[in-house]
Formats: sequence, structure tokens, C-alpha cells
Amino acid sequence: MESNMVETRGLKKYYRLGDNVVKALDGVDFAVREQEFVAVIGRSGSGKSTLLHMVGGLDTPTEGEVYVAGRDLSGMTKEELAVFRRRKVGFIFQNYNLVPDLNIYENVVLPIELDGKRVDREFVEEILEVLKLTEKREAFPGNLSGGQQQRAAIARALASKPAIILADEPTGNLDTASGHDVMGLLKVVAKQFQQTVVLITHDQDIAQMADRIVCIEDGQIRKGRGLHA
Amino acid sequence: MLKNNNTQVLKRMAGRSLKSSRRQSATMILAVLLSAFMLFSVFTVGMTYFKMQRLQNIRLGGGEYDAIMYGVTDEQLSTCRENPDILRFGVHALSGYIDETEYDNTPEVMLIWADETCWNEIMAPARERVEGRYPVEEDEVMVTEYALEKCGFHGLNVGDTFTAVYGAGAVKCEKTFRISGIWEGFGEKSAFYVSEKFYEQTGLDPADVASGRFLIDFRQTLISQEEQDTFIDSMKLGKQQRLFFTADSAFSIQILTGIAGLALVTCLCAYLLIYNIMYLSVAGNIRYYGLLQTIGMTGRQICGLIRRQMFLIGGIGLAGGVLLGSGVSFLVVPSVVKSLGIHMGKGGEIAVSFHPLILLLTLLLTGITVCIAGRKPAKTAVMCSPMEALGFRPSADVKRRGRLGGSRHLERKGHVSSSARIWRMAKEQITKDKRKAGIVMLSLAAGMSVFLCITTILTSQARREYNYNFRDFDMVVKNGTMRKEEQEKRVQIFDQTVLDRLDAVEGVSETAPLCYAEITVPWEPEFADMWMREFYETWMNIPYEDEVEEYKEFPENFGSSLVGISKADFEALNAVSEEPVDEAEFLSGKTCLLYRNGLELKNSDVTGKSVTCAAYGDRAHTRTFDIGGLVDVNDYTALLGYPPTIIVSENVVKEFADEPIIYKIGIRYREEYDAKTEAAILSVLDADPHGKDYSYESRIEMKREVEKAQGNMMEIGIGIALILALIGIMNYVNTFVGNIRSRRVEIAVLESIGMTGRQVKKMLILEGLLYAGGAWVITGIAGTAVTYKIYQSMNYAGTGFVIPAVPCVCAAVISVLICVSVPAAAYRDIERKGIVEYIKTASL
Repeated sequence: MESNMVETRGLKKYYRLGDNVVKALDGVDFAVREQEFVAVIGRSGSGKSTLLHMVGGLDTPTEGEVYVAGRDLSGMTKEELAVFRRRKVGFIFQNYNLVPDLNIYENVVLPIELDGKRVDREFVEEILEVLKLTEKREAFPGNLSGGQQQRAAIARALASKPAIILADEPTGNLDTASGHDVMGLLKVVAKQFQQTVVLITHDQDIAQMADRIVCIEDGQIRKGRGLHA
Repeated sequence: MLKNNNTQVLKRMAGRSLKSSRRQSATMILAVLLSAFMLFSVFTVGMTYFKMQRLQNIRLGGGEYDAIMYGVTDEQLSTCRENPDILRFGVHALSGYIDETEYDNTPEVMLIWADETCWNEIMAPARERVEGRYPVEEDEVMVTEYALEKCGFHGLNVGDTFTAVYGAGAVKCEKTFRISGIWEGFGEKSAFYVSEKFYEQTGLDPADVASGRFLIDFRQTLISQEEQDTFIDSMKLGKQQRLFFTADSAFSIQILTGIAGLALVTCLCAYLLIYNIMYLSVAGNIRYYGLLQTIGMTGRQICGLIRRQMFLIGGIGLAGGVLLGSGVSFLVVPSVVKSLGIHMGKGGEIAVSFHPLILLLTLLLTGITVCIAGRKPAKTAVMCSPMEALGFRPSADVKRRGRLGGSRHLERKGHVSSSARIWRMAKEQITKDKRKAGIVMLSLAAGMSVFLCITTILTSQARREYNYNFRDFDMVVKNGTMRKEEQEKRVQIFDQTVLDRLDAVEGVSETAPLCYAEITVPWEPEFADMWMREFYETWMNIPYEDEVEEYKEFPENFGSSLVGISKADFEALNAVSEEPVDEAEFLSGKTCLLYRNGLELKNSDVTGKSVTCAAYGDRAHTRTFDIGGLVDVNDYTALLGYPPTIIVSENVVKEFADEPIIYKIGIRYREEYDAKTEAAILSVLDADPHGKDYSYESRIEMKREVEKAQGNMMEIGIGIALILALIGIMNYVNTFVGNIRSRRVEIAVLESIGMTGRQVKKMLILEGLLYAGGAWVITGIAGTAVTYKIYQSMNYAGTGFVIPAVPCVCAAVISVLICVSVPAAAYRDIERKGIVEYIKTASL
């Protein structure tokens, strides 16, 4: 039986907004198998980014459990979560979030260096090669196009050989051609490096490139194509 | 083009934006408030400080005057009367001395006549209490309790009488004096002030340099060197006459330059504080201004909006700063002074000074600073296109991105530890925006430099007055019988028993007695004649020719002294001599040194010649010395006669005279300012049969006197230093906190990819340390240089430039603590919101 890389049980996240309670997530049971490429789709404010933040250990749930690579995140301290993120999770954000003062190579190896680990240079070079960034390895983020910056963000997410890659609207800031290009590459590298990927998007076309699509609406999972839960 | 009346909308928006971003507005208002407070308090408290310094000088000098002249002729008096720059002048004439009373043979109390202007106007600020009135009748005296006690009188009051033998010129007689008044305060307290009638009957003349002291007070506070020289020339001084300007008058221009320097650094601190905060705040709002541009606001309108915001912030901050400054200056400082129990006399009543100009200057300087500080960020806001504004990050520096720095090096190394990576990131934060980093360092350095400058000046102020004797002894005990006219009354009061007892006092590390023998210097054409001729020209009113025959025939009428000094004294003297003398020759008695006594003789006039002395009353007992040179140190003079004071080795004096009299003993303690040792020494001396015949000077006494004269100058000075240091620190805190807040998105990104809170804190603390280090380098180089310049311009006491170690080490430690704790606290503040909040912001 295939094991689950990600599993949430009865996940709830409630915010208080004045006198109202906003239910960003309202009892989400969600699972992703190892090496699976899952797209989570939903309208703006549906709770898809909140789900990603919970899975990535960026935010803590109001109720419920989150397991990533067999570990329960709910009992972890802030420091443990930070270490967990740099070892087990690779993030790709809509606005790339590269450190502007570091060049591309430095950005890519930053999580590894922060962990005090030795950089697997051959592996990093390979990633850069696949993502067509070898030429740009010493350039600074500000001197690259959006597509190139997002490819660098993918490289950074892969470099520490994480258990899972979480991508939050990675094509949101890119034009259609660049968006498809980046998605194509993400799919290729995920396969090549046997990565599990959870992709958040509101773009149906982009979502079609995933192995499975999960639809989220009003903080709850709606059953759909290829649903596995 | 038609005028577009948008004033109302801009006004409304400026007000609303201040209300909506309360925290940011509060920070900016605080920055302006602090700057206005700093300028206002520094100017007010500074003005008070310098008034107090003036009061200290008045107290130490015994009156409010700018120049003192020895001897004044009628012609010079009329020149002074015609001089429009002179506010007032008065005569302070030596009228004799109290020779003895029935209780004390050596009272050492002078008789002085002060004319009306001198007593009522010039000396008044130095007095704290007066009872009775100034003497009018010939037998009346104005006394101090101190002088009465020196004469052995206790419990006398106004109207009481006492009898004493006094000397005045050639006269010496017993007289009953009536006390017409008693005063307390600062100045010549070891004196009885006498009436004009008394002075006239003594036959002394104010024109005589030995009697007349002429105190001159000028109208202006600042007297340039040129003006001083012109005045001295106009007085056409005789050869014996001397005219000196008091220290604070002589150096008034330099002192003012020093104050101006301090004010300039203070303004710089204020500017940096406001600039930093304004820049960070406006830079943080660039997206907002971008949005305004998007909806059609023109650059000019944005500028107008920012100007209005600055006006509101500046107005509130300025009012608050001036109010706070007034509160601190007029309420807190005086109450602190009061609680310290510092008493201000009637003459020297000093409230915290205020001048409308200070308020105007504060308003003007702060206003200008707000305008200048707001201009650059406003320009940035206008220059930024709407689209650029949406992606604007205040800390990013495009230029830096083109360079690769040390990345290749790091890469080549293969493995980079997490510490090295964090260290490098901290370093890059500093170097990526050098200008901003420079401003933060400069603002911290400016505060620290002012602190350094003021503590250096204050420490030297505290240090300068107490090193009053040549070899820096803690106490100097003098033989009081030395003042007696009759030779038989000058006796050995410090015999071997006293010396042994002093040596036995625990806490005494060295006793250095100086002995002398009375001598005559027989006339001879080569040296003695030349010396006496010069002496008469300089110091005497009668020509040498009138008395040369008497000198040749009765040299006993022209006595002098042969002073014996130790090897250590000789070494100290030789170190300051123009031409050092061979030690072996001096100690063996082959050569001697002569005290110059103010004569215009040069070393070349006397070296190569010899001087012969004879024992007083025994012409046959002589000794001849080669003259090694002239010295100006007057610590080695015993009885000053017309012929020279001959300084030789103590063994030579002991060989020459049977029992040379010890006239002075220098005593050094194991620990400076050891009051216990001083009390033990005094009890040894008081227990001696000659216990009433000695006098002493000590560092402890001197320190006490100076501290009393200084009043609360030190506290006020420390107050200024602390205010400035505090402002420097607040400036740093504000800037650093602003800097971290503007980087919160960047920090959140780093945390999202796995940087732990500890690592972020470490990076920020390292940044803080780098800032502190940079600020100390600037303070160490520029701050020390400025301090040295200001210090030298104000250093009329001539003390050496020494940076006070303890305050500086404390300041360094405190600055490091702050530089470390501020980033940690600022991080805690942004950490509370969590990463997601900022990641969302980044995603907008």
C-alpha cells in the first residue's frame, strides 16, 4: 500500500474578524501520496492558501492534526517547525520571495547552509541545469525575468531534497507562456527527482497538469476528479 | 492653467493618514519631540552650565573681573576712566598683615583695603553672607570667621574688638580693631578688610606693585586676543607692573568656539534622528504613494501631502519637545539640585537660564531639520512610478546587485557553516545600503562623541585644580615662623622628632623636607652687581645706584636664602630646565641653580659665572658655586630677598649651616585623597609644642574648596552628557527598529524557507554589533579628533588631554548592550504576528 506523504484530519482554522468568526478551513481531511503531484484549486478566499500554510508549518491549526512525512506538526515548537521546514519542505511562492542580496546560487543553497549541512554541489548543478539556470547562477534576482526568478525559487525548493514541495500560485505573476514553461519544468523536475508536490492555483489549465485535482470551497474539500482521500 | 483648489482634500488626507497609521505617526512625532527636547535642554542647561563656570571662576578669583593689574598710576586710572569698554574698576590694595595676637604668633592674615566699587560691585558675586558694613573708621575691620580663627579668636561678633600686632610697610605696632562687619563666601578669606583711612595712614600707595591690585571688569563678555593686547598697550605698563586677564576672559573666544562646536554636533544628532525616522517612514509608505499616483494624484500633490504631514508632525513634536525640555530644565534640574543640597549664595543665585533666543533657535533648527529630512523621502515617493511602488522594498539597493562580492569564494570553499552564512548576511545588510548604515552609525557616533567630549572636559575640570604643587604632593606643611620679620623668631618647628612621627604615620609613603640657611650674597662686579642692577630695575622704585654702597658695605641688610633640595627634587627641576645641569656636579655642591624671580635674565647671562654666599652674620664663612642655570619654579624659595635664592643639594646646606631650618615638607600618601592619613598627620602636628605655628595646603582641602566653588556644575554637565547619550541611543533604537520593521517581509521569507527564530535573532544581533563597532570606530577617530579640538580650545587651565577611561568603558559596554538588546526586542515585536501575515503582505 502506498504511504501518505501528507495527511490532515479534521483540520480547522478559524479567525476572529471583529464580531465575526471566519472559517478559513472547516474540518479538512486531505491526503497526498508519496511522489504524487496534486493541484488544489478554489476561488479566492476558499482556504487553499491556508491549507498550504498549515501543511508547510507556517501556521498552526485551530483544531485537527497535520502529518507530513509521518510527523505530527501540531506538537512542534516554532523552532522545531523552522527546522522542519528547511529539511522537509520546499516552498515556491507566487512572488518568488528570493533574497535580493544573494545571487541565484546562494539563494538556492541558502536553506542547506542555514542547516549547517554540506551542499551537494553536483545535485545543485544538476537542478540548475534542468531548470536552465546554469548561466544565471551568479546573477542577482533583480536582474532576472519573472520566469527565471520562479525557476530559481523551484531550484531552491528542490535543493535541500525535501519531503514535499508546496507551491502557492507559482504562475500567478507570470504571463501565460512563462507560466506554462515554469509548470512544465516543475512537473519534469518533480518526476526526475521523485518529489511530492502540492500546487495551489485558481487556474484550471495549470491544474490540469497535475496528477490529481482537489477542489476546496468555503474551507471544505469538494470531491472531484482523481480525488484521493 | 486654472488653479486646482485641492488644499482641503490634502489637509484631510494628511490628518487622516496621521490618525490611521498611529504607530508610525507616533514614532515620527517622537523623533521631532526628542530632537526639539534635546536642542532645548542642551541650550538651556548648557547656558546654565557656562554661567556656572563663570560663577566658579568668580568664586575662585574672589570677584567678577576680567583683568588684574599690579600697581596703578594716576595716569593709568584716567586712561581706564576714558576707556568706554571698561564697565567698572576697583582697587584691592594690600595694607599690611597681622603679625601676631595673644593667641597665635603666626596668624598669616593680611590686611586689605577694597575701594567702594571693588567691595560693593566686583567682589559682591563671590560673597554668600554679609553682616554689618564695610569699615569706615580707621580702626574698623571687616572680617571672616576663618581669619579670626587663624588669629586664635573665637566667638567674636560685629561690634566686638580685638587687639593684634600688625605690620604695614616699615611700621609695626599693636592696635585694637573693632569688627564693623563679618562676611562669608569665596575669595581672600584669610584677610581683614580695612578702611580707606587705615590704608592712607600706612603710607602705602596703590601705585606700588607690592600693594596695589587693580581689578578691571569689561563691558563685553568676549575679549579677543587683539583687544587684550591693545588694552595692555594702552596702559603703558612700567617694568614692575603686570597685567593679566583672567582665564575665562582670556580664552572667551576659544570657549565660545568650543560651545559652538558642541551645539553643532547636537544639531547633527537632531538632524540624523529626524532624517532617519522620516526616511524610513516615508520609504515604508511608498506603496501608499504609488496607489495615490495610480488614482491620479500628481507628484506635486504628493509633495504637498507629505509637506502637510511633516508640518503636522513637526508642529506636534516641536510643541511637545519644548514643553518637555522646559519641564526638565526648569522643574527637574532645579529640584535635583535642591535635593543634592547645593546652596547658592545671594551673589551667585543661579536659576536655570532661559533666553527667548533659545526657543527661537530650537524652533528654527528643528523646523529646518524636519524640512530637509522630509525632502529626500518625498522626492523618492514622487520619483517612484505606481508600478515600481507596488514592488518597492526600502532596503533594496539595485547597484549592489551587479556585483558578485564574495560569492565565488564561498562557493569554492564548498561547505559554509550556518554561522558563517548568518555572519555574512548580517555583514551584507550593513554594506548593501552603505548610506543608511553610515547614517545609523553616524547618529550613534554623534551621541557617543558628545558624551566623550563632555566627560573629557568635565573630568579635566575636576582634575585641574588639585595639582597645585610642583611635585604633586598630597599635602604641603609650611613653617609659619618664616613670615616673621625678626630672624630670631624664625625657628625650627619641624625637628627630627616631628619628621620621624610623620614618617611613622600609616598611609604616608614619602616625606620631603626642604631646608634653608639665611645668607648674604656679597657684592662682586661679575655676577652680584649684574643681578642686583636687574632686580632694582624690575622690582624697585628707587635706583640701584642709591643703595649700591649700602649693599657693598652691609650685605646683611640684603639677606637671601640658600635652599637645600633632595635628589628627587633636583631630578624634577632638571626635567623642566631649559638647559639640564650635570647631576653629579649639583649633588656634590659644585654647581647651583638660581630662582629667576621674574627678572629678565637669560640662562646665557648667568651660566659660566659663579655666585658666592656668606652665612648670615658671619662674613668669613663663605662658599662659592658655579651657576648651572635659572629656574622659574617658585616651590623652592624660602625667604625672597633682593639677591638671588641659591638652590643647592640638601647635603650642601647641612654642611654650610649648623642647623638649617626646615621651612616646608611635602607629604605623599599611599592613597590619594586619603582623609584618614591627613587627619593623622594633622594630629601629629597639632600635638607638637609648635602646633600653632604651621600652616598647610592639601589636595583634599583644595578639592573641597573647588567643589564648593563649582556648585552643581558637575551635575549639570553630567546631565547634558546623559541627555545627549540618551538621545544618541534613542536615535539608534528608533532607526534600528524602523529598519527591522521595514525588513519584516524579508525576514518572514527567510523564516519560511527554514531560518529559525534564533538564527534570525543572531543575524540581527550581529548587525547591531557591527553598527556599534562602526560607531565606535567613527567615535574613536572623528569623535576623538573633535573632542581634542574642542577640549584644547577650552583648556585654559592647561591640563593634559586624557580621555576618561571609566565613563568611556561604561559607554562602550552600554552601547554594546543596547546594540544587542534592541535587535532582539525589535524581532520579538515582529515575531508576534507570525510569518503568514507578512508572507501575505509580500504576495499583495
